[in-house]
Amino acid sequence: MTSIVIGVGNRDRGDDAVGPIVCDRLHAQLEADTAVQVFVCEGSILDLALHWGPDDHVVIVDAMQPGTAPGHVVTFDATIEPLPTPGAVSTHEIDVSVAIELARAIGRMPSRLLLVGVEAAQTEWGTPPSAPIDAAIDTVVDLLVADLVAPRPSGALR
Amino acid sequence: MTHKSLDLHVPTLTRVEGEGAMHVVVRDGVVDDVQLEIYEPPRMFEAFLRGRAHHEPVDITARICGICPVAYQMSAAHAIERLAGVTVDGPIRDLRRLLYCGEWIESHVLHMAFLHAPDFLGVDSGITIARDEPELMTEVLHLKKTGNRIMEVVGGRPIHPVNVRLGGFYRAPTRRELGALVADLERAHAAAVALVRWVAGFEFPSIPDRLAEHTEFVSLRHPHEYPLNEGRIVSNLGLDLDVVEYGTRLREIHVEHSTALHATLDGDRRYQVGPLARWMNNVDLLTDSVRDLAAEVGIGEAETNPFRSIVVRGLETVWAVEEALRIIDGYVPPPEPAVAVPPVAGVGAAATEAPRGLLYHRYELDDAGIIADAVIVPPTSQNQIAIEADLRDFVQSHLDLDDHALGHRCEQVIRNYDPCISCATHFLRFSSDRTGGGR
Repeated sequence: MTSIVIGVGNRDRGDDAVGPIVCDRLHAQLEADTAVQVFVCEGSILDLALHWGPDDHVVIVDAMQPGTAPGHVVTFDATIEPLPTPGAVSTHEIDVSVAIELARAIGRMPSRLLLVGVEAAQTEWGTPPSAPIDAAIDTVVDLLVADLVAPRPSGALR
Repeated sequence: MTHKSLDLHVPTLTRVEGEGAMHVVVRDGVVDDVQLEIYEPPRMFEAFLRGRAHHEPVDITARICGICPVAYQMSAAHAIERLAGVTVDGPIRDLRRLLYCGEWIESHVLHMAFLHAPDFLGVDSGITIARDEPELMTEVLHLKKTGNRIMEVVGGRPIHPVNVRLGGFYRAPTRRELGALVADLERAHAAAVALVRWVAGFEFPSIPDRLAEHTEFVSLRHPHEYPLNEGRIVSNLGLDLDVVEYGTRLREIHVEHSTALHATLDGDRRYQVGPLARWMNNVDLLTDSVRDLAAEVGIGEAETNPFRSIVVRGLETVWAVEEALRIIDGYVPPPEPAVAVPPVAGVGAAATEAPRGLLYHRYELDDAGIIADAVIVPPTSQNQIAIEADLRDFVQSHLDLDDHALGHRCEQVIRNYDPCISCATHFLRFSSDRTGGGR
């Protein structure tokens, strides 16, 4: 079993950088832990299923669409419940939910797949993450470090 | 139900690159109007390029498209290198072809399996297909990933490559780095062949009287190799031009219903670009294995049915995998990863073969090497008139279909061209005339 953390997002697009930045921080904190793989996915999201095996524990960190609570952190156990997908979409709308449901369809789900979403405030090109997302990044990193050091076999983050 | 009159409007086309719509009007049993409506806002890339240094278009234009950034990088590089009188050959040229193979693989496979195949199977997404064909779609995902992996190893990233520069690359990969791709490419080859056989088994609608002699298929033609970066611009109807002359005969027309310009030759000559054109004009340059597979699945030397373009894309994917393996096998890293390309005043143009077809770039540099003018004509712009003509002919010959079926088939007609709407919507030019005193 390997623990895998995948940060999805675009570093150049405001709060969408949350996934890659969480991965940067985890790299720094978990450098010596070879049982944890951390990588950033800034493109080619459709083939996410090929990055893990059936016994792996996977956490995907991604920004969520702006709503009313910027920085709000949501965890979703995709191992148990299917995610709503946008259906017949433009390639511009291929997102993590499509990639996960594709993994489920071809029978390549890991033993545990958690989706950690952080509600974005803005995703303007060329801007840094906003203050609420900066704070949320710390929260997510703390959660993941605690979880990865002693992961639970299934279910949401502690 | 027979349509004597019909007003068919699909406000949002799905499973395409970008955002567009479609409008078909039938009056008294005759197609009165057909519009491929592209409403995605113009992106003004040509304007962004003015005032930039001659080495910058390779990076700037890569951002036009996340699916075919290599095409933009290659057309930009070749145009400016040609102006400078610089020829890139040897291993750097091979690396460019390898990078382009990666893009063809990922782009073609995305379109075939996830955007176009659902049309033929009557489902709304690749996820549904994956439930029915899990083993095939697993290998298809690996095939696509292999294309992205080539882009990552050669171009530095799986999308929007950052290792490309004028004259070559910032860093050339080692033999070992390329050799690590071989096992994936060998597995990918089997997947590509399986994908061709699978899509060849679909039922294909047709458009009556759509014969080669009625349609001009335009592509690059190189004397010795299936075209990616270089060649003359030819057609099945006798066109044979250097890219500079091609540029003088290209005419872009603004129509009210599209933020993408419509391209014609000589102002009124309709044509199309893309896999069917490449295939028709270069079939003799393919490998025996690809030609044998084509014969097995019933693709002849001049395939004109746009619905069967999905099979030709698959055959091109098989070829791209084979070409990638051939290049890697003979690769010896260059002494330097790039050759110098000095700025030279004047006009340079080039066209390369994006997955969707010919992509033309033209740059005018001033004495300081700064871009004074830029023109980019992507394949979707060149295909818009052909798409609308196909829609008109298809609707006219299928008025017996009910509204739902007809609307679905019309979307499929558009997707036959794998249109990249986002690429196409950066052409609307804005100018103001204040000579009349108005502001």
